[in-house]
Amino acid sequence: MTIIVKRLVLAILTITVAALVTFIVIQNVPGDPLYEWAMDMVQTSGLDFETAYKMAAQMYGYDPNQPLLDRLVTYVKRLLKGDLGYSMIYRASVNQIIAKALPWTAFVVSVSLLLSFSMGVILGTLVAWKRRSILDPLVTGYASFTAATPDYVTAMLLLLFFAINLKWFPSKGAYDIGIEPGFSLAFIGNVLHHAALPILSYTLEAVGGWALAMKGAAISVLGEDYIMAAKARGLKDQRIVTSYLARNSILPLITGLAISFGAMFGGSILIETIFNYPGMGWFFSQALMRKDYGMMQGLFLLTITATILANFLADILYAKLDPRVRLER
Amino acid sequence: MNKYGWWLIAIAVFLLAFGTGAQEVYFHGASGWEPPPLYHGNAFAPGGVGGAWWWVFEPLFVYVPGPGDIIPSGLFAGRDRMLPRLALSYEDTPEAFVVKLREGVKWHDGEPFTSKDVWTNFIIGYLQGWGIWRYLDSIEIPDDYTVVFRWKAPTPFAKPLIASPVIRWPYHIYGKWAEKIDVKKPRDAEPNKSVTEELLKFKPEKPVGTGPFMLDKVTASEMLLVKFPDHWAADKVDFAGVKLLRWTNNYVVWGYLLGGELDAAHPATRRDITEAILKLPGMKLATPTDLAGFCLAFNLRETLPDGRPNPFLNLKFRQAIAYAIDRAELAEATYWAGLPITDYATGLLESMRADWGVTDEWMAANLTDYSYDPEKAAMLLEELGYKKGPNGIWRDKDGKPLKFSLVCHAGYSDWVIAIDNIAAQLKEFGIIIEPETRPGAIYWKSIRAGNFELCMEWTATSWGFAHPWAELRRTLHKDGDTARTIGLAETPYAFLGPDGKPVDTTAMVDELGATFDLDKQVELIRTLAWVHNENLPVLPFVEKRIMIFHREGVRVAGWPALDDPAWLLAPGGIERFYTTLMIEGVITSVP
Repeated sequence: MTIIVKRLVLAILTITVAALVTFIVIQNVPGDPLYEWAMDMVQTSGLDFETAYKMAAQMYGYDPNQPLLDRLVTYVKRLLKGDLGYSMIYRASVNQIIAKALPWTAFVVSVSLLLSFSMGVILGTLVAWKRRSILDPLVTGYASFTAATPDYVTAMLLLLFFAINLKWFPSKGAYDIGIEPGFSLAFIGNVLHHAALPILSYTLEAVGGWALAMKGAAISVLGEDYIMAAKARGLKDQRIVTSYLARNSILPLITGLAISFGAMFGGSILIETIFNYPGMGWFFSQALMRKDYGMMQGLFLLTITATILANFLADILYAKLDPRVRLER
Repeated sequence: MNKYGWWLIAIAVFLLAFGTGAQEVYFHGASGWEPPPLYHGNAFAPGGVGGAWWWVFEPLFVYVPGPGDIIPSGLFAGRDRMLPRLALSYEDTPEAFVVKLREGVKWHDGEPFTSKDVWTNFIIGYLQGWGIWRYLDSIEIPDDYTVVFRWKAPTPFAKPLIASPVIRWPYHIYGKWAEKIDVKKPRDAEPNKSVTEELLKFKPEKPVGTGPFMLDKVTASEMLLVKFPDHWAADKVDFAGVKLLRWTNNYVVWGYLLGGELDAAHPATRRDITEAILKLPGMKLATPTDLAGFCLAFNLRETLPDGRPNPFLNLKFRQAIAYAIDRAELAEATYWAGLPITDYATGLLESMRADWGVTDEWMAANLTDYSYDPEKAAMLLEELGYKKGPNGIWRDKDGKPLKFSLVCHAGYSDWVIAIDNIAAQLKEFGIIIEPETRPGAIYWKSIRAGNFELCMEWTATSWGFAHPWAELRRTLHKDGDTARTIGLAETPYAFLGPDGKPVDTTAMVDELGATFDLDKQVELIRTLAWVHNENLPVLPFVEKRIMIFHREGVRVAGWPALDDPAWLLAPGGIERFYTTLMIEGVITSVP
């Protein structure tokens, strides 16, 4: 129990340091966001630049000359109240933005992660078990191909093929605008229909990586004595693969899965942009593009916190799953 | 059941199957907005209204830009350039602009529209720095349907200034803030500062306008607007509503167009994708001007940023650069759908200059032609004492190779292509150019501070005005943005006029912006175009054009001819163009 508390304290310390580093890095990125915003105003309103710059400063409530320490104090005060920050562009609480966007990202990414992880584990185990079959080069080739292909290309191809040409799936959004959101079969069906292509994009991109990782882990387990003993005892292949090989090989992947769950809080900018999906990725991209310091800090901190906590949980889970592993005191 | 019973059932089945009347047609477009929970209906605060803008709000008039008062050709031939919307008529004098409003207009919430609403909008507009306040002294509302805009300085641009803004803040909602605003005090002084803060915090769920459509629903991917049954032109609007798909990036809009999901959209599109889109039945492409162009800007300050003497101060040197660049090739590479500027450098929009007296014939008779001519460029450099080295690179009198940096905004992909193309062309000619990109957040600040040798800039921008005054002001007025980049106020270089004497271009631009006399305007425009061309502070190479894909005969019929001047309503408000066509009964639905 003590070690869990120690780990938790360490995790909180890491989050604190990460929050500070993120704050300092973001605040010191070269450039002045007001210039970009002012240029937008010049182009859309025909204002002269001086006026537009003053307007931008007033509209976004941002003073580039405010000392860094003052900004840090404000930021920390907000954090202590559980407030992740305030978007300069939207003049809205980052918590409010996250509350609306995160459920969609969590839904799509967690389903994709579970799907890709399960498929990857099965494929990786089979490839390791039948190393001389055609499956090995096929899976390895696929994994290399998807690793080299940006996720937005996969998303774009799926969009063109299944949504635009075949029209099997909707091309955009989380549900049809004509349907009333609520706990009804029609709405749930509509949501699943809309989520199909984003989930497929994530899954197709991730499954190869999981398969390769599982293959590596399974090959090392194959050399273990208990596998030889199981074979010598004449156990069926299916039992050796499921009960001995897969169960023991999957343990190292648990940490990776936990980290992926943590990282999912950032969403996927490209996939969400292509499918117009209302997740975290869109807001991340807007914060980065428009230099919305407040939103950037809030979203980065959320992702970092989620990743660190997921790691912490993975450590505990790992120790529970594998009796050989004990948390060091 | 007797035979009548069967007949009744048969009739009922027939009516159910076919008797629901004509299908309601929604216009399908694409636009941007902030997804919920950020979306709201206050046009003052960031994140408000988004793509619903021109559908839910209306201006007093819609102004078709061009010289004179009458539209010369096309759909609206013979009509006044101010097409009536919320207003019916106007009286334009140097002292005031008097507007008579349409009676019987209602806001979407049922409240009547009156002159108080117009007053509210222009007063709140003061806080947003609306350009009209440069000239406006006061707004009077003698009765419910008359508005008097009283000028402190007469302006020939009263029409675009009054027609540009939409009336977006009803008095019955925003009047309490408008009443507090003091237009005689600066925007950042009290009470204006507090009012601004209060307005920024006000976030109603939906916008309330007077336009032909009302916002019904908005999600992260779609926006649905339904027809406003009490709109003053409801009988002419032949669409049940508007369905907008959210525009996240151009690739996605290309997909929507290829999938036949849109009736009109205007993404900048690669040539091969354009060809694929145009294969769809009924699909057409109009390319009106975007009221702006791209140019290569020279630093005209006394020295270059590293302290070297500045060769760009020499006119012949700049001319040599102009002759050494094949602007047709550059324009094609940078913005293929644009209008290339390959011969002169007037600082005017290529598509509109002739309307203002700068015709091909006048230019041929009066201006230096900078068409691609590398031999002429070499001759000019030799005249200045430069010599080509054995490696093909030009060298100065001290034997140093000609080498410059050329910077652009990293976020403008077309500019990145342009600087690479210029670098390749000038290397071929014998000048080394080092292309460099800078993030947007530092780009403008750095070039305006003179921290560049050559850079990419906007030219001939007339956003909000569509008049040569705004185009020429950009580079020839000391407060113009490109003028600040090149260092017009600091340069030791004297701009010479047609008489060979130094000219004060700032004063001339100001004079152009104050005269009502069309002949005088043309005279000043020609003189300033001459000064721009002969002094060559920047080298324009392409005028941006909007690529408007529109589909005839699927859901929408009646689009104007591709060369109709009505398309000039598109820059700065493409949906303004669509709504005008609907309200005028030009485009109709195809059931």
